[in-house]
Amino acid sequence: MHEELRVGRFWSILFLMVPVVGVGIFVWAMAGLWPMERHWLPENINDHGAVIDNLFLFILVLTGVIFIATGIALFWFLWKYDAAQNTQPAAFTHGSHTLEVVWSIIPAATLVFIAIYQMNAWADAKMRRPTLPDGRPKPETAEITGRQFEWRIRYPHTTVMEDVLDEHGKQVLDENGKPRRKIVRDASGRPAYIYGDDDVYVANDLHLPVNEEVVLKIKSQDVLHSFFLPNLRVKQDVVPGMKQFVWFRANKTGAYDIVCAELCGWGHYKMRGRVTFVSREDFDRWLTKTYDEQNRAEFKPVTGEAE
Amino acid sequence: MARWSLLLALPCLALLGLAPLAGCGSPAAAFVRYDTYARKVEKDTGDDKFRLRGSQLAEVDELLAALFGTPDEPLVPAVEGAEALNLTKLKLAAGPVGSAEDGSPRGLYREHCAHCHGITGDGNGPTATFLNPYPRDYRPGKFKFKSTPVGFKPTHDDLKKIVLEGIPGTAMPSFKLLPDLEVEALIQYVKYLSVRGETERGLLKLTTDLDLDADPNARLVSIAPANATAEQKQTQQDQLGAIKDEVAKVLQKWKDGDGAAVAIDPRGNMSEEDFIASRKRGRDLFYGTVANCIKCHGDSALGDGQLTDYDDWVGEFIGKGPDQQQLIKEFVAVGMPHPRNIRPRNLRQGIYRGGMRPIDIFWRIKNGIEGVPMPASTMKPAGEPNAKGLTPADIWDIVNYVQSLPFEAISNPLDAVPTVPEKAAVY
Amino acid sequence: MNSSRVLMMMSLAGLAAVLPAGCRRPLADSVSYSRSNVAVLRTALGGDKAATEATAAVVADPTGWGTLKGVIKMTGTPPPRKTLNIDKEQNVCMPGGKPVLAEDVVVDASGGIKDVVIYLEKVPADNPKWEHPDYAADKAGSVEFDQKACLFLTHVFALRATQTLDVRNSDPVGHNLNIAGGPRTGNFTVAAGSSQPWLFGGEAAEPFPVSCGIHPWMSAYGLVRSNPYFAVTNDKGQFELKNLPAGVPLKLRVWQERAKFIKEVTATGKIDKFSKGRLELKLDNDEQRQLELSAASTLFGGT
Repeated sequence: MHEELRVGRFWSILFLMVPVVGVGIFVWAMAGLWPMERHWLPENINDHGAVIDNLFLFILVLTGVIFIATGIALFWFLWKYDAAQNTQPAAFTHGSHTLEVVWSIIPAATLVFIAIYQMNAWADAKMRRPTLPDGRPKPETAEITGRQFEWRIRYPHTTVMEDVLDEHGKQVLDENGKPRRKIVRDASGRPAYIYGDDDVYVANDLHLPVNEEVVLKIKSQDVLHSFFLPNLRVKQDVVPGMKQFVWFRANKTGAYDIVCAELCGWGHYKMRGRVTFVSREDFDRWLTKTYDEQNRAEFKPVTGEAE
Repeated sequence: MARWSLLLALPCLALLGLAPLAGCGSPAAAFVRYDTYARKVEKDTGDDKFRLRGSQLAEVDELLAALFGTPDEPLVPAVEGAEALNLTKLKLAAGPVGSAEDGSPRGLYREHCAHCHGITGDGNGPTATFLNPYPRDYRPGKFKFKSTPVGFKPTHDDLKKIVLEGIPGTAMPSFKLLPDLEVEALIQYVKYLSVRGETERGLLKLTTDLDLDADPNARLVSIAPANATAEQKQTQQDQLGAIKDEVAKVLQKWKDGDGAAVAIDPRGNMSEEDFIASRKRGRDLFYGTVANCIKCHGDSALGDGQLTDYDDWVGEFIGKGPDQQQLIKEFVAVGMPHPRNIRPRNLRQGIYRGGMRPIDIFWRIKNGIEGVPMPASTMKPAGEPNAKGLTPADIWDIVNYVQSLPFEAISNPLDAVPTVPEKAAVY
Repeated sequence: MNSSRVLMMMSLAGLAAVLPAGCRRPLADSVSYSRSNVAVLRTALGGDKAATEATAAVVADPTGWGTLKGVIKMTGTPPPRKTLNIDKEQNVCMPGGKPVLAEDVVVDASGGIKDVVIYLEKVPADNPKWEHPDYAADKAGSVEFDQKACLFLTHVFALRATQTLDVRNSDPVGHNLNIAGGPRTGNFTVAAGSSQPWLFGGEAAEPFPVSCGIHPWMSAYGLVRSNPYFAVTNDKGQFELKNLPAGVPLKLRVWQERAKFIKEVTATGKIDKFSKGRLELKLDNDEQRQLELSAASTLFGGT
């Protein structure tokens, strides 16, 4: 009996260690001290990403407080009503109706609160697609198709021609009598590209302009994948047969990860890509360079030993 | 707690603690034998019952280990032409995955390639059974997508392009995100495995030439003991020379390959009208009797013109004769992956395995594709306008036509269905 | 003690018993060799980088020239000739709708086997005593290789490494020639009515297959040698090798598409030895030797 006494309270201390250690590790990771550097949220370079982070922290704090409170309550009951200390026999009670109502309503209310609170974050990420000045949805900069086990990227790069019209709206003719044509351009003066036979295709190597609202169209060629940009807080499952859109506005140049976040087969672990944000001029230059390389129509062998 | 249950629990918990050690001490990786080619050379002697003996196969393994080392410790053979292989880079790619003390990587091949291409580069790694097409077997030394003609090895840049870009339409991924040094190490290791494989083929063939009736203990190399006669020592030198010649032959072919890239005359700037005219000429050539494209690619360019052929990796074993089915059974039993017919490309999908650049398609048409039935073009000799054949301009016409095929209405059935025409999505 | 504890103990014990599954166990060795042998070989091979100068085994020079004539026959019932599966362009490839027979084993009424290759092995290079001057005239000539009605007209062709193969196409449809072995592989289209030269530039140790990719039933074999001593039997199974080096032991290989190197023959006529497709004999000066080699039909798939 004497042995049991110590062992009983020992177990309740042991149970207390779980929430204590758990919370401790969390706090340690948030502080980023050795060996938990870079175990907290990755760098966020998306102007819209703060919403996600804030929501995350809010839920973390809320659930954290509740977790600590219930942990302490559990420990207190274990300690106070330990069999060794408590000689009173256990009493059966039919329960307290009031208590049941209270502890159903409070969590329900909390959850409803969270549900409404997060609607803004959800809408921002899933519904409020950026628009052009004239109100139409902004077209995507690239179409990304997930396939086992890579991301195939296609930039629309085909120009559309239209007739040149004079101030009266009549066609202007050139010296041969044929209508003069010009490339259709968007508001910023760049060609308004559509998908066609001049598209630029790359695999895993996504380049995008920085400091701009960028929309991407994502699809899957075979099975479920998930397009995940950790540093932009963008994650969306790609479903075969569905096309979806994600958008963000990066505010920092550099190279960041694209990872697959939905188990898609044996190569899921290495289905990685790289997204590089550069200035708009550099992006246009890169796109043109990649297009030219893709259209390379001459070859001269390099003389001498290769290596 | 009852004492005896504690006595039972503690040892169990201790054993549980040893769980992390499960898997330690697994045997080192080893190259596998080229069983299919061994069976082929056995059959080529004409004697269906002839089998190479265990001691002969062991000797081939020993020679290969002496020349090329093991998967963990590669060696570059000391023969002429060995500059084609760089031991430092090979060491980065070989061995188990990890990193050396100076932080440089190890085991790159095993990390990125071995699960499909196999430790021996035989295209029969654990993942290979699930893939269509099968991964490349490097050992015959043939590679499909390159800038050199059939019969020549690919250049270094050809191999690099495949590793960097991957092969669309297959399971070969793009490794563009790896650092350049790692990509170079992988290319070296692929070359190394290919040279080793071709040497293994040469040695197996040499073994069948040994006259075992005269001397049942004949070996490819009889190591002369210390007190050997001059004649024995000379025999050993001759035998070693023959072995080294086998390796040198292979290395020389890789060296020749590096200088054999086919130059391509520029297509030149073409206006929209030029393109339309060129495509029309290309279509006529595609359907004509000089280029013969539709014979295999089909009347609709869907790749359905020739469906019963096999590629060389399988064809060299099963041949084309009436006993093909029986040979398939025999070689599958020795370890060949079950053969699949090689299909001509469906040109209406816009997926070009060797690369989608105009020069890539030009090379495919001009050089053919090694190892599969796609032939090289007959070129019209300069100064003979009446000879049969194609000119470079003709090939550009065919390239332009082929590149336009995926965009024809018939290639995109959904688009071809009449709908309310939307404004060409002008943004 | 209570049952839940028993259950817990037993499951822990079971788990512990499973752990050794990961321990080292001997796997079937795919290669098994002696490491000490490898070490010895490594030292021996790791020697000088330059190819070892083989002091060539001293071979006596021939004393003159002799001729070998003969016929290669099959004893027993030859295998029946299979019909080729011609599934495209039948208007050209199956003229008159008649079935076309495979040519892998063609035996005439008297048993003579067509398209058997007999060629001289291991000739020292650049030694005029080993090559009769009569052969110099044709050294750089060309050998015709034509195709008509979707068949290669020469089922087994043989030429010297210095000669050019003149690949022709006498059909109204295009063919391609896929040379899958030998010293120079290649695969190129041969347009209808055209001809194309192909120079091998090296020799092959044994015949290699060639085929057409557009018409996969088309198959033939070729042999390229540096020396001029090779022959392919005609439809009566006859061959003649003129002006072979005399007075020295000769090793000739005998190859047929189905039997590969013919394992054993019964020889009528003087020979030293025949084994595994290798015929050894020695000719005297100005001798005209006559040989008849008979091989059992079982070697060719017959009964």
